[in-house]
Amino acid sequence: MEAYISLALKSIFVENILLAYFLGMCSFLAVSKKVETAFGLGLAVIFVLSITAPVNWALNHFFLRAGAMTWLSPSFIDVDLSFLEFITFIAVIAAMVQLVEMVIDKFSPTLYANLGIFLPLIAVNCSILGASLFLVEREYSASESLVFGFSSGVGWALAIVSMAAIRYKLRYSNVPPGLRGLGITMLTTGLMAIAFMAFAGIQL
Amino acid sequence: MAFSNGYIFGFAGAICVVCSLAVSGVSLSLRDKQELNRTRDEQGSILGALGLPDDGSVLDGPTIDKLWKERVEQRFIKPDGTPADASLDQDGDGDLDADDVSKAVDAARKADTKPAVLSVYVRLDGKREEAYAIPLSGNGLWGPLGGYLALDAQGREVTGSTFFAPKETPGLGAEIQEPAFEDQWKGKKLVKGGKSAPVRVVKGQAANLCPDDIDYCVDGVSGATITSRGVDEMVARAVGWYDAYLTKIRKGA
Amino acid sequence: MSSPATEIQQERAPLFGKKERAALLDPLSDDNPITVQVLGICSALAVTIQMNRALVMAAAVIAVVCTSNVVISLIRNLIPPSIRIIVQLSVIASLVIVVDQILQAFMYDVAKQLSVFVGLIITNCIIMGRAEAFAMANPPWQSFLDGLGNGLGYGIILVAVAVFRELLGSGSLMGFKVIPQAVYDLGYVNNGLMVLAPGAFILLGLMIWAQRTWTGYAEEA
Repeated sequence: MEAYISLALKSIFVENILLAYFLGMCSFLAVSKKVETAFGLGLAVIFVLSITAPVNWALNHFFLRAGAMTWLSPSFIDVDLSFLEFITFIAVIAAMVQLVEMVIDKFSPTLYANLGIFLPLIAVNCSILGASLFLVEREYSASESLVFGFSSGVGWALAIVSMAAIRYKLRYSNVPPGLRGLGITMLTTGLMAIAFMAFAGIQL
Repeated sequence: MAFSNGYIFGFAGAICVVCSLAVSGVSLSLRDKQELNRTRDEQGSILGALGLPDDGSVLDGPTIDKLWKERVEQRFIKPDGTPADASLDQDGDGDLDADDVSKAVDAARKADTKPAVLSVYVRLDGKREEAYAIPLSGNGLWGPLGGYLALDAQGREVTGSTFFAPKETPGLGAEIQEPAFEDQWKGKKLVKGGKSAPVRVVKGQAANLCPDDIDYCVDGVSGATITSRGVDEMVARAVGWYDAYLTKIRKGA
Repeated sequence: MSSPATEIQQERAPLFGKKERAALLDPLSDDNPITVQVLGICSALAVTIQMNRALVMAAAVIAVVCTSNVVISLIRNLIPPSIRIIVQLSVIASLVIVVDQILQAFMYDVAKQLSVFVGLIITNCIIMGRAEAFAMANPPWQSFLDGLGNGLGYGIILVAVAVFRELLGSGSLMGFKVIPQAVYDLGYVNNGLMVLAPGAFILLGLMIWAQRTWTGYAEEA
């Protein structure tokens, strides 16, 4: 149990998928202007990550890694389909995002309208694919993958909502023209990343 | 132009087939080369730790293959120092290889005991045993640590070391892979007062912190306390596991 | 009134006409994918710790974006709109797998260092963005130039950030120690922050400021 809490805390704070690994920057930069929209996107990302991480784990475990398909037949021990990882994972992610889009459109058309193009762009949000690739590289188990997916999503959501709140406070500041928008957001993200580094080295 | 459903399915199918063929074709044709790279990479690290090549030549692919065949022997031993035989097979394939050692090591670390089977790499010159490399495995801050510690023919002094810190932060934990850290280990001793003693990694400068035991201490990496501690633990653990074997070498050598 | 011969000549686009030059040169500064279009940021930060990694990543992205632009442009009239995105993704993902396999076979050390970030080229918004915005509506040669221009624009920023990060963070360039030992002896210490995430963010922010001030582009407040 402790191991899972440790993994969750690590994925949310210490190894925040955005502030430590730079994944998910594009939509982070574009959608962090309003807190409500950021929150909505954050929730969508948590949902997509929590589902795609275990599903991709299962695909990798039962089909793709070296010797995975021995449950079908022992003669498959030499089969190594890991080179199909990228394309399988992205297909799962794209399908999930399509589903999430339909769900959001049905239950909250306002949010759907606010998110606009960025909802389908979750499919190419590097953090979703990145989380799946990390869990394969780090050889997490099924339950660890679920915890990791969920926590990475929470970490990403935390970062984007914080950024939206900060940008809201900055809206009347006198930012030089060349620095407006992307530039000042980058600098702010850098400072946030330094702040999150304070969590480094914490082990439960 | 409206596309019929049949066309859509057909097109989707065609894309699948073309992409799969392209990807599988490239992957299969390059598989052997990739495998060779992986093997050479690992062998290169062990050769480096053992101080090969010792004639100044460059460590490239063919050199690695040649040196590995002619100058290095991989032995499997039990924790008591005697040679291991195939009865200690861990993964059920009937013989002893690196996979069995990995499984034994993983199990031992989980249970905090000694592994059932260990491996050691011996540098040979004809029949003469010149040096030994023992593998290390441990944990850093972000992920696993690994490495090899090379010892002289008497098993008393460290002649070289290689460390791996694949997930550690460059500039911090990953500094253990740099020559500045690895070179410190040359000349450190593993025997104190007739018994095995591991080389410690201290937090700070060894010259200040172990003035009397300088042969048994190396400097840690500043800003990388947890990684340095990980190295310290993994060396201590390895020296403990290989203690019986090293004692045998010292008596017999 | 122009003769039929001239009309036909005008229809075939010149090899390096105005539009072609724009496709190639605009992304280098005015329409830079990273600093202006805000695409491809993720990898711009992750792989710029060392110059050689940045160079390989830039080369990989250029290879993928050019090829994917050409392929998608060639089949652009055959793709049914309802499955457009997934077809583009399939093409891009397959190309990235091919590049990854080639790297593992021929440049193993670099492949090890780049690890998951090669796979993340798939989600590099630049490639998807150009496929959707340009290749779906333009002929292959122009699409190739557009891909090349955007890839180079991306590469320039990547290498620029990497130069600073490696120089200030490790005192080396392309792996060769550039700052002499004498300077270290005087008390100079490598800036550790440059090697970590925050350094990359801050550096990129400053670079964007510099580049936009130079071109005069500014977002509305």
